[in-house]
Amino acid sequence: MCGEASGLLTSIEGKRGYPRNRPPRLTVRGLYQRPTVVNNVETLSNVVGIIANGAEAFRTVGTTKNPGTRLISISGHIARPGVYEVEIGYPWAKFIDEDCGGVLHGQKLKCVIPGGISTKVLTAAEIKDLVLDPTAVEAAGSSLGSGGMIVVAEGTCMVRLLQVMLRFYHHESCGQCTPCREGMGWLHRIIDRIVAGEGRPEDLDRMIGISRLNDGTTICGMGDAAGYATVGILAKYRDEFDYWIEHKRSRFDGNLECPRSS
Amino acid sequence: MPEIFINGHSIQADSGQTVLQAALAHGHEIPYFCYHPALSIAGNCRVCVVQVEGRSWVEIACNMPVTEGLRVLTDSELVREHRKSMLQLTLLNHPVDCGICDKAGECTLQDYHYKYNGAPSVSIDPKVRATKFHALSERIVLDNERCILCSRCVRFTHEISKSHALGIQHRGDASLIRAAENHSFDDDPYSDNVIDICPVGALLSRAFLYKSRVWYLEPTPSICPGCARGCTVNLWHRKPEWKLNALDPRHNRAIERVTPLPNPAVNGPWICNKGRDLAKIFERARAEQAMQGGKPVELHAAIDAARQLIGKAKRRVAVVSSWGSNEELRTFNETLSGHFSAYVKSDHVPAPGEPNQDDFLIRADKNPNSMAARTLYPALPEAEPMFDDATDLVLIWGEGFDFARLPQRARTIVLNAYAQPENVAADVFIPLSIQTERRGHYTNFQGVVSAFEPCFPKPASVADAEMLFAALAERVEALA
Repeated sequence: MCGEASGLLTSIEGKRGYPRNRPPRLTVRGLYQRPTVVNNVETLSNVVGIIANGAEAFRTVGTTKNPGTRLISISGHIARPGVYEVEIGYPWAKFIDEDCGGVLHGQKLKCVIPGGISTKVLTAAEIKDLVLDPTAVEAAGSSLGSGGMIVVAEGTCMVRLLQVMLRFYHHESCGQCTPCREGMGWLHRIIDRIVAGEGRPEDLDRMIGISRLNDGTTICGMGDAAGYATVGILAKYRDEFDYWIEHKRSRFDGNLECPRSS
Repeated sequence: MPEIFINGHSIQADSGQTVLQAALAHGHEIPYFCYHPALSIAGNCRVCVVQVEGRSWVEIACNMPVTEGLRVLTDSELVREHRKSMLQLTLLNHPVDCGICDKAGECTLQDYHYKYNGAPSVSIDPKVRATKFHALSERIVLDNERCILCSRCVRFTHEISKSHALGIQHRGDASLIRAAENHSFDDDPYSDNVIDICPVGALLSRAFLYKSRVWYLEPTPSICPGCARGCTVNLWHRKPEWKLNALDPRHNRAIERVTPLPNPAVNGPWICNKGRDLAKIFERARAEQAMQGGKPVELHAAIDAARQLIGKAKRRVAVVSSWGSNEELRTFNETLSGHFSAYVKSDHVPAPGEPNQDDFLIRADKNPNSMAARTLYPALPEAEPMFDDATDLVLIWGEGFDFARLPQRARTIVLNAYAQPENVAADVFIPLSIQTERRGHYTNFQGVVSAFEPCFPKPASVADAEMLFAALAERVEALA
């Protein structure tokens, strides 16, 4: 939780890494109650370039609306994971297939989580003709977010993937405000129960309901984020959840690893 | 003074107020757990949601500053739905064991559930298990399953009592309120206030644990006589209609617990732990039998004998109690003080280990009405000789007098409510009523006058000091 801007400052002050309520904004009262600007290293590095070379030089790459580059930290089922600096507007499929060496072990692409697990999942078909441009990705219903991209190969079980994600959110919730503290544990317990073969058809709507409850009602953005992830996966892969609840097992053998051969 | 609108009603709010504060100040109800008027804003319970007109989302009222013309809805469809969901989440891992919870009947979670939710749990998953009966201190027991992590208690120890003794361990739904390992919570003289501010039954008094359901009790407004601060308190005792004849009769006239009676002029919403233990002061062994030369006599006979002594004496000294009410002191002054040289004594001095004085509530003077007594009479001199050789009568009112200091040939009249060996040695002993048996006022060290009310009937064999002084002074000159 200490990555959230205000949680980060509270943590620096030597207190529990609890995010703070706004108002006041951090630029009004931040670290030790003084006005504070918190930015990513990526943003600040761009500022250096803009000051050194001027705005026009910065605008020579990227699109008109979103000039510059993005740092993409790509991981998951990908042949060459790592941090890439990509020009905004770069074709997504080309980036995965050529620059990053394609999906691991030559598998087919199932879906991509574009910018950190809190962003909504995009299927292979959805990104086929998409470019790496925040505006375009938002138009497709997701976000480039932090640039923490996760590639998921065909044959991966989305129920198990969501279980891992919800375990993370449950573990990561600071426990300060009610919707996230109670909601994350509840989501985790429901998905654990589904995986254990005790799922009920109404569980999926309950999970979407808990996600909606967290949307905009928490102190920081983590509750919302967990909700986006849950709603995103359930919207596109609900059949895998229905399958597991009905048959008490995974359609894909609960697979999270990328198989070597097809 | 920004004008805001709550559900369309215009309100003149104070600038700097939040919407919740302005709404509460003008009688609009918004439910809340973590907000407390004396503590900082935590904004973590998320129950005080309101909707700004024209917006499609809800926000918390406790952290929303008032701005000119702000229009807020506290009971829209969206707010009702969110509030209900938030209460369901609050109750998700709450054990709902109201049947065995001391807080039942005065629990905010219980009240809000009936008022704003009322629906059975929608979860079929097991609740999170946590520590029960955790001894947070020698005085307080904590049930972590009931705790809704509003953090009021933590903020209290950081912002009010300044002991910094409580914190939260772990995170998420595994979070636990815990005391610092240096025992600073045991040493916090204000620790019991966290029991009152706990909105649920998580923090409970070990002294009151399972003693009584709160709906069998009623409060009587009173004043803590523990020090010169004179904090106003509620003394909780059994309602007359719930008297239990089957039990020990003492149970029907026991002070079951003491809580603060909020009073901005003196103690705010707080009292110290000594104030919680007033039963220990009031329920000491009483003296209820009038005596003459150590032999039991009727009350009226003792009063008559005392009158005779006063009438016959030539040089009379009175030692006045600093536990007497303003009314008793005034009556003494109007009736008897013409016959006596009067001095005020300290009835109580700090007990060993008792906090002496701090910069919050506790005062070094452990008597409730020294202020009023000393405006009438000088303090009893510490150094000898306090009585001249001609002194032939000493009237001692209240406790704490060093009988070794009495002149040899003086006769004594002792007026006291509690049993002490010197009562028997007095020429005349007259038992008095105690604070819980009469009404009156004390003036605290700042000059603030507060009132106390009776909660139990006075035993027939003891006298009210006010009546007694008038009776003692009656035609006393004629006896000389």
